[in-house]
Amino acid sequence: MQSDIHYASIAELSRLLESRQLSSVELTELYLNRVERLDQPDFDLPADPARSSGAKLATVITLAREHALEAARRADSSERRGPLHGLPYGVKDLLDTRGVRTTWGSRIFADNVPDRNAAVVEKLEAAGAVLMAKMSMGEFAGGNTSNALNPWKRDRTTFGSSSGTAAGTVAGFIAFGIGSETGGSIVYPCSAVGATGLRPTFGRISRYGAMVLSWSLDKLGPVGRTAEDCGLVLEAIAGYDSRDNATARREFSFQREPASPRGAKVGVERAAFELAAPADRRVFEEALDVVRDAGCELEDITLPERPYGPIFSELVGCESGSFFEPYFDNGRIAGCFPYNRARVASWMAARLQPTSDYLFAQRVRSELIREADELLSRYPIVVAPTWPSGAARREVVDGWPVPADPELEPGGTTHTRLKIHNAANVAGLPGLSIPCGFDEEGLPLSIQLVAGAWEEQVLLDLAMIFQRETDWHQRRPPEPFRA
Amino acid sequence: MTLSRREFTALVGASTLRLTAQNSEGERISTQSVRAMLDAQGGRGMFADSEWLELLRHAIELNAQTRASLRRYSLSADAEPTITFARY
Repeated sequence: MQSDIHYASIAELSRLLESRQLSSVELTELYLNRVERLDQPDFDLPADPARSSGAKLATVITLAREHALEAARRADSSERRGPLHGLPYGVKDLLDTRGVRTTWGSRIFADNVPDRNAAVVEKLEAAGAVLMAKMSMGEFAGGNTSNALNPWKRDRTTFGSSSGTAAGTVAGFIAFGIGSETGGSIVYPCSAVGATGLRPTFGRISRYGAMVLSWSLDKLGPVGRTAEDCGLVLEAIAGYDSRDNATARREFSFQREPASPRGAKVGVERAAFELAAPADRRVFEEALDVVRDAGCELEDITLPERPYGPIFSELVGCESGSFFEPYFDNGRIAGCFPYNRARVASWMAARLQPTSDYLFAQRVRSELIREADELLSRYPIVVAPTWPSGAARREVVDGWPVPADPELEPGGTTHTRLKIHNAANVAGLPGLSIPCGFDEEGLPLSIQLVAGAWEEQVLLDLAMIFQRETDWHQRRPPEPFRA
Repeated sequence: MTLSRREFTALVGASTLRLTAQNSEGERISTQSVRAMLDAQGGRGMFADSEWLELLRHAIELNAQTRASLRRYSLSADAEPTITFARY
């Protein structure tokens, strides 16, 4: 058996399982042992991260050993149901999992054990996949406040909020993962750790059984080591669900052989590239060369100033305030980590103010959706750095991990200047983050490809071609994980 | 405190107006105003605690600034909110 099998892609793992060179139980034990050895600190998570986690990454909040081995045994003894059959995976810990605790990244819910599965977990179970781990996340999906450390350098953040999902995938702890994004929480952590992550079209995947930050903005999506991984997982989890009003009656059939992008017009958000430091900009320019060499016609575009920040604040504030109402009423939310108190108070503030402001924000949003759709009708793909620098330094304040310089992290001013990213999230458009090199400190850099609604295959096609021409997605963090 | 629906609406309206007026004149929003809003909506709960009340007061100030900046956007009269109920 290969020694680095834990880093294999879904296609490679699937071949090994199908040919019976490897059983699901063997693969699951391999991942479980690896997580126990390299990831789990000697205290329970989610916890006050001021406590030392040693050299462990803490990407996993709950490791479901018995649950996973039982599912793996079932997979080994049943007929194969597709490429995910028998593969161990992890989900961001805001998805309900029957019999396995679901904490939303908060010590308030450290003992919460749901009696239902989220729709995504149901679908993965039906595909024969093995739920193995609940992955670390910022408390209540709040940006970069997760326990998870960056496998490339442990003093760096993993951005957020699907931190554990992205970092655990890159560290070879799971075969693939599921994250969620409201304003950047899939693609940003993927950029920070060099994972490949897909934010699907709003309504592509059911969110039934997921914690809500914003009904009108939340998306779930796959995180993998390759674009092909993301396509295979998306095919398994996409589709209509009567329990989620936003889901569309659309299936997704993944085409593993990419269509040629020759002649496709790709918009380059030049101002976003210019946010990068000169050395990092060279890395991004080389990525654009790969896209050009694939046959795409690159054209610089300029996006107008729009009030993306205020729209996000308004929608997320009001909708979170409504979803979390019972926890305000019973006071439980007061037990959140200190760093989150101002954010929690902002949800209550939104609840106290006029609904007409919420409607105003949703009206502005309608105009921005039309504008984004029009842009993406002219450019089938728009490209920008997912984040213009490597992961920033992390420190612990009041017992909670925070960015040492918040301006260098999602939530700061840089975030508001990544216009295509913000436009895509407001408009519910798909985006795919793929690693494209490293900065001078050896930290991953990534580009994000954005397409029109329901055009995930277009993104996956270009990304698969990019990953045939480059090997950035195959680079592995050195072990032991460096400080 | 038990309020009729009419009294409740009047109180919330008055509190909001007070907050808006304070904020538009660059004044610090007072904790009394915040308490009045909380009481009108059913009680202070965890915000009876002075630390949480101050966090909420500050959040309301920031929120009002955010909303004011959003209101400066020049919106078409035809723009519908993205919350339309539809069957599809």
